[in-house]
Amino acid sequence: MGSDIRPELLEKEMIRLGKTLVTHFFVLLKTAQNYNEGHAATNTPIANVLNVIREIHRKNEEAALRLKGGYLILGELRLKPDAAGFEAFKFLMSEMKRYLIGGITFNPTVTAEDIGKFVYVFKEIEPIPTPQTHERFLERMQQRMIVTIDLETLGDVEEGIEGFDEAELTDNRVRSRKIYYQTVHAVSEVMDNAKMGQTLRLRKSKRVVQSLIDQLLAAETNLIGLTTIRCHDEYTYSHSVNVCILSLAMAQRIGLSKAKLCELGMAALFHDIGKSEIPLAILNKPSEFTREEWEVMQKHPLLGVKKLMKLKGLDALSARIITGAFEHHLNCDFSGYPRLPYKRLSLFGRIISIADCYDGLTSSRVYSRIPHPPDKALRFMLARAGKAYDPIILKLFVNCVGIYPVGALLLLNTQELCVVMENNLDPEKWNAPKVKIIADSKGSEIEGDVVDLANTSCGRTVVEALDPNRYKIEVSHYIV
Amino acid sequence: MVEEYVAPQDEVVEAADVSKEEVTLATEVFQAIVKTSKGFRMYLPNNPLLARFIDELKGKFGKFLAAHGEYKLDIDQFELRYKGKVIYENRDPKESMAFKMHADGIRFLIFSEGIEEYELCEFLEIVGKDRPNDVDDDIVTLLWEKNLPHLTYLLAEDFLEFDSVGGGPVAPTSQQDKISGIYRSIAEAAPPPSPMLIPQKILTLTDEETEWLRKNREEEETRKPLDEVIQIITSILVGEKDPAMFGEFVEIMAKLTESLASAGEIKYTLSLVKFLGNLATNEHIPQSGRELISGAMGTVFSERTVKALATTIDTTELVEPEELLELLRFFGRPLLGRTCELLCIVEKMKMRKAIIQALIEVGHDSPEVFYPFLSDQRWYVVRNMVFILNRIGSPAALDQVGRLISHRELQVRREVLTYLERIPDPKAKTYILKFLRDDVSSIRIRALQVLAASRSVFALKPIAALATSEQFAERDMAEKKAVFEAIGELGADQVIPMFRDMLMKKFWFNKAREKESVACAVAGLLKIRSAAAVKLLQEASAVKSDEVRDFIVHAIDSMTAESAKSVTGP
Repeated sequence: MGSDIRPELLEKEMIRLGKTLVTHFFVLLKTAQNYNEGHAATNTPIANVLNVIREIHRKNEEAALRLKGGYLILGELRLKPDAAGFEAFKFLMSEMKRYLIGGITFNPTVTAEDIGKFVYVFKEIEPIPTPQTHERFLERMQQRMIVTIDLETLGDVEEGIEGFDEAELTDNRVRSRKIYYQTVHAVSEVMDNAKMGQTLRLRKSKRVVQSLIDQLLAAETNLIGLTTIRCHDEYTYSHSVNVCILSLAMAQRIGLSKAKLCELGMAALFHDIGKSEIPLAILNKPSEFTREEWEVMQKHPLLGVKKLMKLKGLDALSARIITGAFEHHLNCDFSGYPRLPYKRLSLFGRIISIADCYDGLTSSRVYSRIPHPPDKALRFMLARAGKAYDPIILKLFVNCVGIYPVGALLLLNTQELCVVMENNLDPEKWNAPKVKIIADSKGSEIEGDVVDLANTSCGRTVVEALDPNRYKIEVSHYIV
Repeated sequence: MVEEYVAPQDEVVEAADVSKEEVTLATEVFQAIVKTSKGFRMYLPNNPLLARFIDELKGKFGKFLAAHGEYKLDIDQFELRYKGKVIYENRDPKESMAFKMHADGIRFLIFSEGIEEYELCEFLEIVGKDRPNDVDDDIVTLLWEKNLPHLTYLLAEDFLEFDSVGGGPVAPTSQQDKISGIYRSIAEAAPPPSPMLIPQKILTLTDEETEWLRKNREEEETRKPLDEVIQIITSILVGEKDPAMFGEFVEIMAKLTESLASAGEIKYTLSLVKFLGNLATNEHIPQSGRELISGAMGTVFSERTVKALATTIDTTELVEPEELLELLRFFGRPLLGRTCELLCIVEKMKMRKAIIQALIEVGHDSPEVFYPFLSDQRWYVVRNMVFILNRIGSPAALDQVGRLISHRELQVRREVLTYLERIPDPKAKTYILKFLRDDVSSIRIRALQVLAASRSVFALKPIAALATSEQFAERDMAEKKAVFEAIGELGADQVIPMFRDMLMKKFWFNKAREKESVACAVAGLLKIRSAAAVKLLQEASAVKSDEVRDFIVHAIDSMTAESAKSVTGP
């Protein structure tokens, strides 16, 4: 470091500059969303970004923001958002993930023009992540002759969980878990009101869905991991929350706005609200349903519509919840129920249907009563793509959860047992997720490390996916 | 109401960790917020005063943030604190900004350096607006959706301990026995086959699929949720076989239609009413179901709906007159009474015209529907109903309308007279005769003209009697002339002796009266236009003084010209 100031002061200063860079870049991105390229409104945000870059360079430091282990890093320093800057961090991180950008380096020769051009590349590329997304982003930068800003691929930078502040990771998990149970609590309140025929107040639920969305944008894996919780006593509620999380995970990859994400989250959360009218004797029946009972169960989409219309009334939000409640069992080819002359399926309906089925299949408290392990559930669903499920959304779903979804129980070639914690973003590495070792080769339960199976030096490969339900293993214990 | 209190500068107490200047500056910022927030409620967005408030606010914020980096407020129920010092207090829940934010769960509000004008305006717009309690779009949701870069908040639930919301199931401390079970099972089983991977190519989104997702996302952003719900409910009503469920949804549909009508969503209302109408005649629906629908349709245009719709019509531009007309036509005869009620309360002229048009069309064969409204206390209601009956031209309403001849309101009486004029029934003319006793001259004149024009000879005697009554002398000239015109029109040559007297009579010391008498006689004779009438005028012109001669000669010329015209034709 070529600066005259003391290292600890420099570090403090660099953290401040890093945070300022994140905030200014966030403001620039947001401004660019609202104004066309070259508009005067972007001048100040561009100048602000450039000034902070210059200031960083003046201290002989690298003006590079990187995404590592779910955090933003400037050089070697982790930038921890304060309350005021939380939104900026969250937004920038989600944008970088969306375009599979692991790092952005602003060279000392970068100009305001370069920054101005760069920020509009975000607008030009479709933000649905595909393996080509990052390449397209780079191509676009080349076409725009941006040579003073370098990008790194997310996979190259993202080194996994190892080496990161475990305490911080735990914080994030605790927060995710807290939001998860707040959501369960909110759902249970609304469902209880629905059961008693009281007016439905959704304000609280809306808040928790907003928190879920924020958390999903910040730490998606943690939340998806929480869907592995199998809370038998509150199956309907935790199922609703799981469907909400999985639906949101899909939708945020599609690039829905925050407001629409919130509507979808609410629709997913209350897709089964009609079940509040199904007798508990049927709902909780431990054995197979009779034909009559099955007919009663199949009424729940219509009962949901009825409940919402009667107890909530119609506004934009309840309309979306009604659609979710009505459509989620229709099936892509309309072979499902209710069987009515209704031949359109909204994006929400398609998404919720997949999330609902996946969580249902992987849970033990559903009508089939035979829970599937996550990978088998995916195979089962892929076999019905185009019939029961929208094939494109289903693909997107697998992109979200991976071939071995979070919570899958795996046997490794080392005879170790592990649980999937996170999937690699690179599709080439989908068969090698990040896992937590839960038992050594002799079968002793251990508090093992999190290992990235994509890292060939670890010498571990997947041998078999096991069914945690068969062995009554509570995988969520290791994840959350 | 408790007065709004923003801590004045001299009340700001210096704290150990915050200077008096800083708190003073913080107070000034909030004073500017309060002032601008009020400005938002009082002025239009382009008002220069509001623009000045915003500029001042920006200036205060800029100064504060440049000095202190961020502006963080603790939110109590009725107070806002900056670094522990109260800088705002208002205990009126309706007015208090602190209360509004606190009630929505906001506990900290942080404005950061670089805050833009649009962010301040969005914030003030959200916080300043009154919202009913039952609305789900609270301040937090709106702030969250706006995603304002330099404005952050912390909520009460952010401070809740994990346990207070239930920590979920307690995980077992060890799952060793279950893990051992797995290993036993593996040992007993044949070696597992290599895992079957899902081929990557079927999981990678193609360009076409990405494009499809993009299109769907765009459609989703613009989708009309109401359309979706209507499609859902209509499909349920068409396809549902369970009578109980069907009945529930008929009720739901009726309520939805009622709400849409109340909100002025006339296009939707019309399409739903038509749908229900078709369903009510659909033979595939069991009779009981059809009856249910017919009954439900009757509830759509309720008293409540009428009031709400009227408010929407008068306070918004949502409703087009043509749409309203079509809807009211569709509601038809069974709901004529409600349509009348709507007419009674709507104030917009163009909409009233549409409602009247609907009532004329639909009520053509049912004038009795309007009768109850003829005794309404509101004169304009009565006037409108008479107008409608007039346009319908229904003689059946004659007696009902006839009762309004002495209505206290002139405009009603005028409308009644117009109705009576239009009705061919001779009885109508006898009612008109009563108008000769009306308090207002213009009405009496109009009644005379109508009687004359309709050749109601029976009226000659009473009109002549009127001309000789004591009060007649006090009437103005226009009315006097109208009386003699009517006498001339109805009496023809038989009243010429009367006019001779009036023409030839000399008023030695009252020339003005003589002129008046001549003018009235000439007016009557001009209506008779017979040879005898001309002859009388010529006689009079020979004997009358210069002052009135010219007047008589002019009348003769006019009559001659008229008769020449009638001989030669047009």
